[in-house]
Amino acid sequence: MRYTPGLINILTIFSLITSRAPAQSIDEQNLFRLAQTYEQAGQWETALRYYKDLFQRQPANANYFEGLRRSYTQLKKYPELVAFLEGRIKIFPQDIMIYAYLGSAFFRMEREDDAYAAWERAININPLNTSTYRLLADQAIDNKLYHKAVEYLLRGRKAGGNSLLFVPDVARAYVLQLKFDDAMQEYVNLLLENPASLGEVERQITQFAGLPHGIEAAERVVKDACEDHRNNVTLRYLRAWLAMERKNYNTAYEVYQEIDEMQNSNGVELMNFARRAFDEKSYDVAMKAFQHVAKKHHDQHYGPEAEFFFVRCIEVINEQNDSTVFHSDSGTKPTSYASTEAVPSYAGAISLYEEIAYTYPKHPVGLEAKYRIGYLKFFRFFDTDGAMSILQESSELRRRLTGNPDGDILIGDIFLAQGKLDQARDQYQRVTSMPILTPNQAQLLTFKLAELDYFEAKFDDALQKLQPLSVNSNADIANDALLLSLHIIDNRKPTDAPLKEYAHAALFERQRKYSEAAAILQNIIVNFPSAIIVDRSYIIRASLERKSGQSTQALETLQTFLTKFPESILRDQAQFDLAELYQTTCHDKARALELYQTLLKDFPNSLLSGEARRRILFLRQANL
Amino acid sequence: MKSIFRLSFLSIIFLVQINFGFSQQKILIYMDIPQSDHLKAYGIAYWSLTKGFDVDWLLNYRGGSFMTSYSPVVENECRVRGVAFTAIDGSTAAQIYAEVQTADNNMDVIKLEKAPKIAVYVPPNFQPWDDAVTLALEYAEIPYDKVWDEEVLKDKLHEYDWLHLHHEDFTGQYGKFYAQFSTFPWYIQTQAMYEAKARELGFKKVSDMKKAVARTIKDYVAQGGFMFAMCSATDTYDIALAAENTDICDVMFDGDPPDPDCQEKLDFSKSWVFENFKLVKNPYEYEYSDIDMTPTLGGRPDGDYFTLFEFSAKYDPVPTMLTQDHVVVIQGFLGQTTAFRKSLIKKSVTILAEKKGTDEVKYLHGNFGRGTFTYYGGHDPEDYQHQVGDPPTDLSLHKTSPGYRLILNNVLFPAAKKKQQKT
Repeated sequence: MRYTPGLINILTIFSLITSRAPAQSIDEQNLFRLAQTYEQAGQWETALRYYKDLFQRQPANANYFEGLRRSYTQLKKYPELVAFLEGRIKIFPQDIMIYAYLGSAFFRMEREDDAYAAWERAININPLNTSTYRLLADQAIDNKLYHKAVEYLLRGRKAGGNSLLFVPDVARAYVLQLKFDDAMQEYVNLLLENPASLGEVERQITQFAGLPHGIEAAERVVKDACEDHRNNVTLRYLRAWLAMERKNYNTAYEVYQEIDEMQNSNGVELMNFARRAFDEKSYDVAMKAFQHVAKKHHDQHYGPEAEFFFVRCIEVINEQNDSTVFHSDSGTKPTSYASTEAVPSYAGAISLYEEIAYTYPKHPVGLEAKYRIGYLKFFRFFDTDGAMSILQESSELRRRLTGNPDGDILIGDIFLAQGKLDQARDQYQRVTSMPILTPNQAQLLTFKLAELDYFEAKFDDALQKLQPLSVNSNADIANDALLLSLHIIDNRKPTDAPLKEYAHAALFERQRKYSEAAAILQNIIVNFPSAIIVDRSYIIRASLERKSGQSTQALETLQTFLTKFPESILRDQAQFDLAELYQTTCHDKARALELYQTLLKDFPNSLLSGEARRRILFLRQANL
Repeated sequence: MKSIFRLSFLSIIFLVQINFGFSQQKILIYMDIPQSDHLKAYGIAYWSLTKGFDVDWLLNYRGGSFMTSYSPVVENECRVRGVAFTAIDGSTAAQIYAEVQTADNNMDVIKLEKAPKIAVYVPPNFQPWDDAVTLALEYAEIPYDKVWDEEVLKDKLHEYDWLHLHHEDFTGQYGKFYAQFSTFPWYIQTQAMYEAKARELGFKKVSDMKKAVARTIKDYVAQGGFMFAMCSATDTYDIALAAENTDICDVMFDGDPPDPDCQEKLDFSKSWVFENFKLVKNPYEYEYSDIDMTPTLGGRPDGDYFTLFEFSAKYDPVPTMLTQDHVVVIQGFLGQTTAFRKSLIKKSVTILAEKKGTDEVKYLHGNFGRGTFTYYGGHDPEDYQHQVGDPPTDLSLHKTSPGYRLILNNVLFPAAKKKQQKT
């Protein structure tokens, strides 16, 4: 708080009036308040004057002494301060605080030796008093003398005969000198004696973990300590924590294996670690940890969970390596949609899920395994019968145990893929009536029902269902709903006929009947040459050809489109698809690069230009 | 009369053609509103210079456009980076040059000669998103090196044409974050790192080291360097220069109290931009002096706009270059130092932008020795109230940012060939 000159004047007048008051204590109190007011206002010279006056009246008063000392210090009147403190020492020769102040005053006068001598005098009063060392260390830190602070603290520790005295202070003083190894050694010593301080030590380490070489030093020291103390579990917890802080889950796993054995925890420690590794997407390490628990501790209550997540890790790793799955991280699209390419790896995961499902038929883990089997069979192998069979067998119980209707929704999708539209509709409607649905799930089901209408050429019904989804911008499905609505509206004029054909082709595509779908699209091209939807029919036809492995045919379709439709608004999409075909299917990077560049040249305002630029940069780097 | 005019116009075109020799095609990277990515356009200009292409900066022509010799390579690079351009034939280019050169138009052509070598003054633990300039450089794909106290004091600056000062605190008070953040790991780590570096370099105090750094930078500018500072690097740099002979740091910063007469001991003849400013001595107050006008703003973007001054392109090419933009009124943005108090600015300094009707100056420029300096108030032109720990600004969402353009004007400005000043 700042005091205005006006306020100070009022206080001055007040003090003059009250100074005539008979009671000396009241006069002193007012003077003291005045001195404090000037001090707070940063008017140190005036404050000094008042404190001097007060001190002369009562030299024994600790407040006046402190005020005077602060004033000398702030005014950097160090010679006067030294004289003042020396005088005080004569009165109170046992007051270690005065020696501490005296040392600081000397140090600020650049009289280092005198400073240390003054502090030494404080120690000599009672060399066994550990508080003195702490006090001097604080003074040293205030003066940025971190090495002296360490020295005093270590001497105090020795004097007190307690090897753990001042550990956090010593460590902090080391950190301030960037001596991380020494700081960590202090924490290691603390943990050896007091394992309960692990949390506090971790908190302290975060104070310097961000400094260059800080966390590396911490890891190094703790690793050495673990080797020196082979039975110490706390050090291993710290080592594992440090490794995980650096995302080094392999090391953390090794350490947790040791911890698990040392603690005789029967895999509990490893399970906890594996769950964290899984959550952090470190699937390879999580897989090893889950596998270990599943093998060695399968009889424990968490054994089934370990088994399931072991397979789940395999599935995720397979997916990461699966060229048929879109990976947003690498920004690459599938090279091919041929499901056969994915068979061997997923087959392994499915086989393991089947074992789990067999072993734990009524356990949530067994039911979850069945859902994963159905999911993989449908999405990776398009085995609709296989997927349907296992989902129908398990979904209801799974829903009852976990409250999750994913399996029921998937059954509807499979009916649709099998061409059983009525059954799909019944299934979606059945799920829609379930009270457990989240708003997102409910909206997704409405969209699926609208899609069914679209496939069956009931365009008005579809639009009616899509309308509330399209206007709800908070809905996850809003964009899809909007796109389908626009697609329907744009292509109904002058007649529904080509759109009906197109919707039929879209249904075939959903059923992975690519040849049939392509044939229908060809019909649209031939029979409705002036329809707007012809342009899109070319693009989708090429995509279907690509999905069924006919990349040469797909190239031809796109090139024909580009030649025949110089005015189409989908030319940029065709150009992009062409480039992508060369990039991912033909593996002709040079041609792909050229085509992406042509896209930028011919369609500078295309919505695809951003992605084209990203791919150009990717291909350039790949060519380096 | 008409024929005389036509004749002289053709003569100009002819002369310009001779002067610039552009019978060949050109690429015009226009910088007015239709430009799709103003920020990357600077990157293209820089990249073109590194590849040996001529680049002319057409001051005040369509927002400060760039013209390069036609090359499919440049054309392709523009497309890849998403920079809009027009390939024009020789005669169209000649007409543009003629229009720019006409005495009646407040335009001029500045030839950019070489890609300036750029250094950014940042601490070792710095992240690119901590600072608007590095964000802009990264986005525009303009390469830069990082330097810090050690490199500066070991005389590495002479290797660079352009130096940007991060939002550093040259007064040695650690950004005056003490009251709010002194117990936070990042603050403790910063202090430990700075103190260790000061000790290593032979300084008792961080503030002494920072003063030495400030002096070295001053020498660098005196010898012809270009210095650009933003946010708190601006006022703290000037304060550090003025406080060379006194101690303004309180005990928690440097271990001893400030000089009680530090205000009186400020030497304003040593500072570049500000004079007669009052220090904020309270160590718990997040402010260095009364130079900054942040506290007078309400912390609201509504109505917070600053206006660029217009300069004579032919007579004042430097301030003209620094104020090239596609708009003249720009959304303001806060920083630790947001805007400068006009009444404290020296007369020798050129004000480039201010908040109309107030005492707030946003952007200024001056010369020192053979070099120049530019100060730009605020932290991030596209994040109105950037806070410690806020996520980085994604410049791909602000491709046409007029506030960021001012930063990039400074980056290209050292590339300009010095012309004989018109008299």
